[in-house]
Amino acid sequence: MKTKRGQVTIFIIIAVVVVAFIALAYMVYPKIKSNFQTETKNPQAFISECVEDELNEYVDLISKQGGSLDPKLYLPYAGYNTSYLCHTPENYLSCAPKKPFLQKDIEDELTRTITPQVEACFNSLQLNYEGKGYDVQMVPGKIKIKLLPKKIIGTFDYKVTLTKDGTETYNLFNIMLDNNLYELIKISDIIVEWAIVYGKIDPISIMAAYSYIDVKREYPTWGDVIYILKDKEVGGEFRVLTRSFAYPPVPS
Amino acid sequence: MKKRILKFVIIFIFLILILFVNAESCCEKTINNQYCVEASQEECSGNVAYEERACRYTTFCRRGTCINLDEGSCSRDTEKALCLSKSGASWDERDRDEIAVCQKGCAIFGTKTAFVTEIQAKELAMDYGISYDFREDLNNERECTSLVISKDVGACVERKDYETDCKNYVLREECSGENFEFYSGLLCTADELEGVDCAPNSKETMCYEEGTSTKVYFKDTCGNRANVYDASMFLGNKNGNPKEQKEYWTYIKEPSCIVDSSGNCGDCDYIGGSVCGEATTPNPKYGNSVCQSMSCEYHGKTYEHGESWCADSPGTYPHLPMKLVYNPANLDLTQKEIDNIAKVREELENTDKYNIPGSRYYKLVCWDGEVKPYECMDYRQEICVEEEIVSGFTHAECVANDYLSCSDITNNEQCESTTNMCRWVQGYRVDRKNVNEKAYKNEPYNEEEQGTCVPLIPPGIDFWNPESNGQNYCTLAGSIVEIAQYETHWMGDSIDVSPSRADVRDKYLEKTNRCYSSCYAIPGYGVNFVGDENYKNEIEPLIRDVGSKNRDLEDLKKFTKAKNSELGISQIEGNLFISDRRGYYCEGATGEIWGDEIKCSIIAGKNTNQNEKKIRKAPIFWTNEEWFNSITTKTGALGDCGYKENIVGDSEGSILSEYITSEWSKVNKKGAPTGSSTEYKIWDGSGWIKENFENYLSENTGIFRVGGEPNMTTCVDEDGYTYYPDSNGECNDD
Repeated sequence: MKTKRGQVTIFIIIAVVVVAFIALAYMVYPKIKSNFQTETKNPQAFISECVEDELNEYVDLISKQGGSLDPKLYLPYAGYNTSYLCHTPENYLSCAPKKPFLQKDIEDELTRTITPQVEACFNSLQLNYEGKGYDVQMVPGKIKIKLLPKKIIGTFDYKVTLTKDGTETYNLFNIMLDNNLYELIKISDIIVEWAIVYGKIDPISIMAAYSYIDVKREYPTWGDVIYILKDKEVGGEFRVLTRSFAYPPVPS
Repeated sequence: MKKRILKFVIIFIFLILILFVNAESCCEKTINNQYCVEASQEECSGNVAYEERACRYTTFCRRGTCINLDEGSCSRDTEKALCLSKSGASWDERDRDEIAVCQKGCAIFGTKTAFVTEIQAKELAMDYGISYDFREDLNNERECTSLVISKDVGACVERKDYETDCKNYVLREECSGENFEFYSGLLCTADELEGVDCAPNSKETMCYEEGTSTKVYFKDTCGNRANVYDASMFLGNKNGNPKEQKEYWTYIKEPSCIVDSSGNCGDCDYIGGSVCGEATTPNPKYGNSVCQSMSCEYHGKTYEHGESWCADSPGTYPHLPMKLVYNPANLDLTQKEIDNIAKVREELENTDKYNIPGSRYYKLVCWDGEVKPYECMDYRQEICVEEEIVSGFTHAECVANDYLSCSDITNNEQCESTTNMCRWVQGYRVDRKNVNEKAYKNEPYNEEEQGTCVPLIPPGIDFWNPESNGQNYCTLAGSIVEIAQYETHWMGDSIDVSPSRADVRDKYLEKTNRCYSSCYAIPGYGVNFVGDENYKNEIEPLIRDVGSKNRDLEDLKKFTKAKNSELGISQIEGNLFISDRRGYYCEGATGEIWGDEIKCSIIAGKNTNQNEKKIRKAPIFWTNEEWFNSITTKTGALGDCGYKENIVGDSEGSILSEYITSEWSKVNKKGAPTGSSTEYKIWDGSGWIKENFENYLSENTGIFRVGGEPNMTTCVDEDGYTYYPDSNGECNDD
């Protein structure tokens, strides 16, 4: 009898320890918590998480490729095909801008590129909520990526209505990245201006005017000049490639 | 005649072909969606414009201003077709500065400013949901960013049921509402604010960015930013004035302290080289933030933030003075600067030490406490120059190496002018002409024009690339062919006359004595007159019958002046390695010099009248040493040409790039070479090649004249310059 009671006691103690451990883990590790709470995840957060990584990748790629995801007139540099922002094939002459409205071009290209992912994420959201017993009504809307000082904003004008025990409607989904591509593009406009008039610009003069920007300048091949702009505070890198007032390598 | 016509036709056809093959052509849009590119018609997309000329000269790709009114942005110098491909864009042929909608001004958004067009300002205001003010009168960025926006800020007190909160530096319009009270210009530590418990905090300071600088600020016990840190202003600090201290913690104040090494002032200035950071040394009296110097330590020297200097990169000349390049004629230089530039220019002539293959200039900048390198253009297309702009503060720049202009300069004075990056090498001209005066004149040598203007800093050349112009450039610019001609006795071997043709072959001394044209090309010519003992010691062991008499160069020059009686020239003694032929000094003359004078008359010795027309010009070089030094100096100065050590001390690869070969040739009646012996490489970059030289000296083929008087034929062009006939013996100066 005593032995039997002792065994039961041990099992009870073990059970208490296991429960206590689970409770402790649940409190200490938020991911475990969130996985158990997926059904209460905010649709805004869902979309944000779903889109963010891919958008970041495209932003990174477009920055390293000088403003294009699919460059046509470019130079291979440090693992990326960097497109020319100002170019002339002739020697001794000034370049012509090849992307006159760079900010809009980048916004349009990012919008175009991220759209399939956004649509897929909303479809995934719908399936996810339907799987948890919600009735989901979705009205697709406009997708737009916009560059602003120190951030990149994605706005998705979708309307999502979730019904289960009550109705919740979500209008206008946003995603925000910390990235100062906006200002880097403004500085690239200055670099292009100088390339047209003078051929190149001293990086120090840019850094003196924009103390939070680091600028490197290199000559990857004959006649080409590349500037690598980095925002030291917010993050973001942009490459500006020009070919202006070049001259032949040896006396002819 | 027929040959000439044929040559002309061939050249004409070739030129046509060049024009045809290399013609520029412009495509408005290509099949891969590029606008205004130089491409063939096949690459053009569909029914678009195409012209056979450079894009900038076409109507469809003309450059002008591209305007996007939706965004308010304008792009200058933009190709028309590219512009019109953009949605919402229009193109204007005028420059951007002439178009009103493209003009930027200062947009003011609350306390922030931006230098943009008015349309851009409107867009930004819409994005942020704020109002804006637009100042057209501020039309440069500096004025806009340094605009001080007077703002009504102060302490904002929020009175809740259970507590009272206070925040500093709040805008009046942001401190509105039922429970809010705004106190303009005050801090939360002001006694006037009833119920507010914020007090000066001696333990914490903070960094905060204001404008372009990040400064140190006091904090209060509520966590608010107070005024710019000034240790003397802390309440109770005996170094300060109590009344001022009280005011300091009551009102928002402009900083009045001066940053020094004590760490007692937080008015850091980015432009001045300080920025707020965590304290290491010096430790401030209060808190843990100080204005840190952004200076840099580099190779034992301290550089200030913003200071720049030239790096000591291998193979370059260190710290070239800026006035070496920026030295317009009207710039007043101190004597010290003039002397320094002269010294630098002289040292730069050593092309075996400076500006050698592989060398590249770099500029270093101290920025934010970090030394940043910036490369100048490769191939020494740019060089780094520096100057001290104020005491102890240097500024450096990568500037263009203006070597291209040297080839257009044909005189010494302009070439050596300190406004040019060139130097003068005495000797051959680019056109190979001899522009010296007649030998009898005073100062017959035209030092002003008898030479070549070459770069002071040789540019780099991609000599390793067989498809580039590099090797061709060195070859074309550096190749020299000289034909030294000797006069033998007309009787040859048939009489025991010394020197016979065989003697000329056997005795090297005889070669130099009996030479009459381009004698300086003969190794060792004038060896008794050389200034460089190394040259003499190097060459003398290689030649036989070494002369024992030493005379200075002036004596040699006197021989070529051939002035009447006053010179008192005696007959040339046989041990000097210089010509004793009258033909060397007089056109058409033969025979040995004899007597006290050299008279250029039609019949040697029989006419005592000097025929000045027959006197030759002074030679381009007096001695082989001069010739040798001139051509090797010029080769080294042109660029990465010739025998040079690179920056890693390797010269193996260049040993074939600079050499002298020599061979014997027979000449016919008209003096044109016919047939030849073995060509020997007698010198390369590493020195004289002894075995080859000895073979060359003992070459079995002598010079034979085919019957008759030796023909001293040379040609004279319409300017009076002498040159050699072609292989057909014809005078043809085309």
